[in-house]
Amino acid sequence: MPMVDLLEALLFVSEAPVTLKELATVCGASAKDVHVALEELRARMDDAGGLRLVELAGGFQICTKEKFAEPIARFLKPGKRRLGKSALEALAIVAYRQPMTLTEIDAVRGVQSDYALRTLVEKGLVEEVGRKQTPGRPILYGTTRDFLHQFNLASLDDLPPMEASEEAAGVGV
Amino acid sequence: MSRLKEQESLSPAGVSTTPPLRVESQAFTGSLATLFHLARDCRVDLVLIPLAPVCEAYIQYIEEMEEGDVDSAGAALLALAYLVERKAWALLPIADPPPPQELPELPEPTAHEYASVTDSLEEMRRRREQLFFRAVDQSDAYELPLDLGSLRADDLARVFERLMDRAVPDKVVSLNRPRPSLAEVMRSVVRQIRRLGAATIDDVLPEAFSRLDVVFTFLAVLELLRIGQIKARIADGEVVLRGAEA
Repeated sequence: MPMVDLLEALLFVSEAPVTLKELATVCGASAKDVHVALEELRARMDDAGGLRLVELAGGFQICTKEKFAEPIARFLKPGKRRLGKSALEALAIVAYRQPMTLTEIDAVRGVQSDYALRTLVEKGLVEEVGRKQTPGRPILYGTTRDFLHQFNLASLDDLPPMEASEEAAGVGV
Repeated sequence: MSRLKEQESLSPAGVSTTPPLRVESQAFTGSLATLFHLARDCRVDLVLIPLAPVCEAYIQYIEEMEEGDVDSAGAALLALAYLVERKAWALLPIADPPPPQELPELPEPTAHEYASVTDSLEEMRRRREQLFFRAVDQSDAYELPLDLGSLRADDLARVFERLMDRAVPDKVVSLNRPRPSLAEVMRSVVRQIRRLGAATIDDVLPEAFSRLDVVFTFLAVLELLRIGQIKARIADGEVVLRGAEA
């Protein structure tokens, strides 16, 4: 069977991003061949249909095209999951300087961040990644895979650079 | 310096007046009584006031005293002793304060540096919200058929019947007799197979087994085959079990 069709079928049933390695294992092909087939699939989906292929959170996934966002939202009626300004600021600091402790986040922000951090942990955007080897062994926090997914990032390397972030804001999807 | 003068009185014990002793130095000028009161109230630094001349003046006063007031002399001695003791304490070297505990260096507040990336993340999130992904519970989806190779259900049934015939009837000791869970029996079967490499169903059963043991073991074997943790084949009419990785 054509690998492009198989990849389309596998990604259609997947609820989470599928890594290149996983796809290669299922298809019984090399990662290079799968990558070529994925590019072909991406081009095919971009040309026609209501779906598109995206690379995010370390894998590949199929999603709807942006132009259908409004009717889909009317159909699904998703609940808004807004992030407050303080939580977003704390998230940005953790994303760029991870792993870091609550005290360090407080120091960078100049205000207490325990509520913002708790919100981020509850939303699954930040998680404990270890303990700092200093007196008291404070908890170290880092971003989760869901953070990459929620912000449409393939990896942390895709975070907008600190200097040119204004331009990067428009790149996203 | 100090010299005897007849001016003021002192009553450190509260009952007697002191002899007229006057103290003069760069840091203090006045009567012994005044010096005593100021020192008691910590209003004068005794380190700056030499007390040796005061003591000498006191001794001179005692020597010159003919029929003096012993009570007053005693009160003065008490005041002098107090001053000397306070000064001695003040002259003791002060222990160095403990070095301040080194706190880990923290970065300066620089949240403003993240303002632009925070805006970028917000914009990225806003755009990401326009994408919709599949989110479906597929727990009841189509399951792959079991691949048992040459092994047929008849083979398993035959082994099951044979073992049931050999089983010792259960003795009813208690109706509430605790039974092993299927998960426990599955773990036990996997352990036995790992230990032996390849095992028949007889091997994974206890030495003296009951019908209940046979039923539980068969259920465990079938479940392990279903989830792909073990493999089975038929050899000389016996079902031989192996680990999936073997």
